[in-house]
Amino acid sequence: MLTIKDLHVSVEGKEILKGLNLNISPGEVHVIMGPNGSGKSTLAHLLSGRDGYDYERGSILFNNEDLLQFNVEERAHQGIFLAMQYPIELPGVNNMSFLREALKAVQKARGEEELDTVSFLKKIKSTAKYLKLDEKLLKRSVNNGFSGGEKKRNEILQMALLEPQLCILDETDSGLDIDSLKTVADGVNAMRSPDRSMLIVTHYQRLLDYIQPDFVHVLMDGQIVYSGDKSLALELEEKGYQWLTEATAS
Amino acid sequence: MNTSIENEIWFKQILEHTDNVEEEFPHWLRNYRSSARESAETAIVSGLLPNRKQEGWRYTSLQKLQENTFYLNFDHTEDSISLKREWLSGVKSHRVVFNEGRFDRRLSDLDGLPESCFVGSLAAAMDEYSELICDWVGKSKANQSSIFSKLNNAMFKDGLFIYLPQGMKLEHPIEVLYLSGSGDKLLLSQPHNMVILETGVEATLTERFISINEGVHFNNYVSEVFLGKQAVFNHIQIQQQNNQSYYLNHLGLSLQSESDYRGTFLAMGAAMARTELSVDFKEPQAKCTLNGLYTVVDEQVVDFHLDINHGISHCHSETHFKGILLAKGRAVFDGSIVIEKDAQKSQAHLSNKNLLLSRKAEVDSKPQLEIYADDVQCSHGTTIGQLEEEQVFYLRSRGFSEAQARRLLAMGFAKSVLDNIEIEPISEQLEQLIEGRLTLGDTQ
Repeated sequence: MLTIKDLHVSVEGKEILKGLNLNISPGEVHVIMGPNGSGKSTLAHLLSGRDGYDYERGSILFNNEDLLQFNVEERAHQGIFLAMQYPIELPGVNNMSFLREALKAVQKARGEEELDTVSFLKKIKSTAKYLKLDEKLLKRSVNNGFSGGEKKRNEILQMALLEPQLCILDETDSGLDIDSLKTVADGVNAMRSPDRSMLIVTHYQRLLDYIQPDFVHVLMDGQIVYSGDKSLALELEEKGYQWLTEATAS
Repeated sequence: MNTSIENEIWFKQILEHTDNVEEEFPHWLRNYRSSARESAETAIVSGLLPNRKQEGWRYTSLQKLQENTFYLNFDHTEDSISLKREWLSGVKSHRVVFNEGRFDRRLSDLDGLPESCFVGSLAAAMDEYSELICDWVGKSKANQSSIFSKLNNAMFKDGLFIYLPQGMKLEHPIEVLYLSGSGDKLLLSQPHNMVILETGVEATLTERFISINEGVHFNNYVSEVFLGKQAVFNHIQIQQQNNQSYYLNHLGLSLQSESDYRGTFLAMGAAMARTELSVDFKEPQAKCTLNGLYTVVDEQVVDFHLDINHGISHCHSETHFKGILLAKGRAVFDGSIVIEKDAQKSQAHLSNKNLLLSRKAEVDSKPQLEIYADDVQCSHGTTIGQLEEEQVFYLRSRGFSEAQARRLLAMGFAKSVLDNIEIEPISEQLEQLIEGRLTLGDTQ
């Protein structure tokens, strides 16, 4: 589904990704860990189409097409979804109509039939309930005055609604208490399917107590230096990242 | 800029229009009008006319207005205008329609008004309410220093008159339409409106200023609003005229103790749409809330001058205006609060936020705050900005096109003002109107 080859990306003249390789097949859950400043968030954001990145070398293929030729909304239409670490507040934009219009835009672009109002409301309400998101928040402005946990759950709500092929979660676990973390993880798990993949960027092993990844990668200094299974995360939790630098150097 | 001689001639020409209704008016009103006429004449000959060197007219030129010769509409005929659905809220209301500044009985609907009150034409009220009108006319500060206000006072023949006696709580809103247009001649209308609410009255008034065709017209309104003790007045003004026309509105509010004025002002622009609003707190504990939203497209101009005078202690003013500027639109916001020496415990807050959606649009914003008392809570501020790119990105990442995202965010910006309008069909109509303008703005 997603194939990244030898990707070199710089921001304002500074090289952030230095030859990154990553291959994600349908149905797989990949976790990317790594120290601060290693390029994790850059990777998450550039996949969504945010601008401000210079692509020096390498390629990103999404469903065998060059991803870089598509703008932000086209990537959303094709099934890329970024759940943000700091979801943006949209004062005056009603959450419910935002969700409705987003779904319409995506369905239209995908050539799908528009979900009727009743089914839409049913879907939103049941998902919100599942995510323990107070229905009142649907009537408020998008993320405006939401708590940190509510914002993250609202991201997962959007993700559930838009049914992307590739879910990118950028530190969705940061700032969540243990109950919220579990709720968010449940929401993510409920979306796992054989043709949907996930790329989860996180600092902490604790999220992986709830979401079982297929692969764990360590991103350091702009490259994936080590890949393994779930046990790698536990090892990192115990030993930190330093031993990897030494291991890969030798 | 026109020379001062040309400026003088133009104003003199307007004042030269006389009519034969004079004799119908009571003696005191003839005196009132003629003293206003003298005052206007004095202003004209002493060169006290608006020009770009005066602070209040620094950003607004009268040149285009003065390229036109306007005529008063003497021979008003009941022509074939019919009301359009988009001019009306659709809710049950008491409807007053002015056609070229004259009360239009055919289009008005005043059935079901409680007895002992009056809603309708000032000219028609002149017999029964002569004394009341005589007592109050000209008593507000509806910018009497302005030459345009003087012209209105010297020449008005009709206008809206609302009198609600003590304790009356009007169940339905009063909905007023001012319809203007021009045929062979360019028309000038100068209604003089008076709203008198006695102690404890509660009422809602919506006023819409509408062009019925694409002709150039000039409206020069004076509106005087007097709120008695504990009166609560919801007031919505919607200016939505064509791009060629000129609109001047002098609104004076006079507030007695514990009265509560809640105004919402929507300006959709014109060749010039200027509102001069003066707030005069007469007694303590009065509250005045002014919310406004202006949008300009094409080469429209909107101009707001607010003069909020706290001359009395314990009064509270909240003034919050927002502007959305598109295409080559221009807006002026000049909001001034003065807290006089004895106005202790005043609360006064003023903000003006502008969203510039075009490189060619322009806004001149001038919030002013002068405080001469020492125990007050006041603030004022202006922002002029563009949409947050982070927000645009967020929406696009959810599948919205860039144009859709910008429109949605601009609507979100407008929302806080529209939310003040409690008559839902009106806020929905306005939302659609503004959305349409934003779409129009995309292509300019």
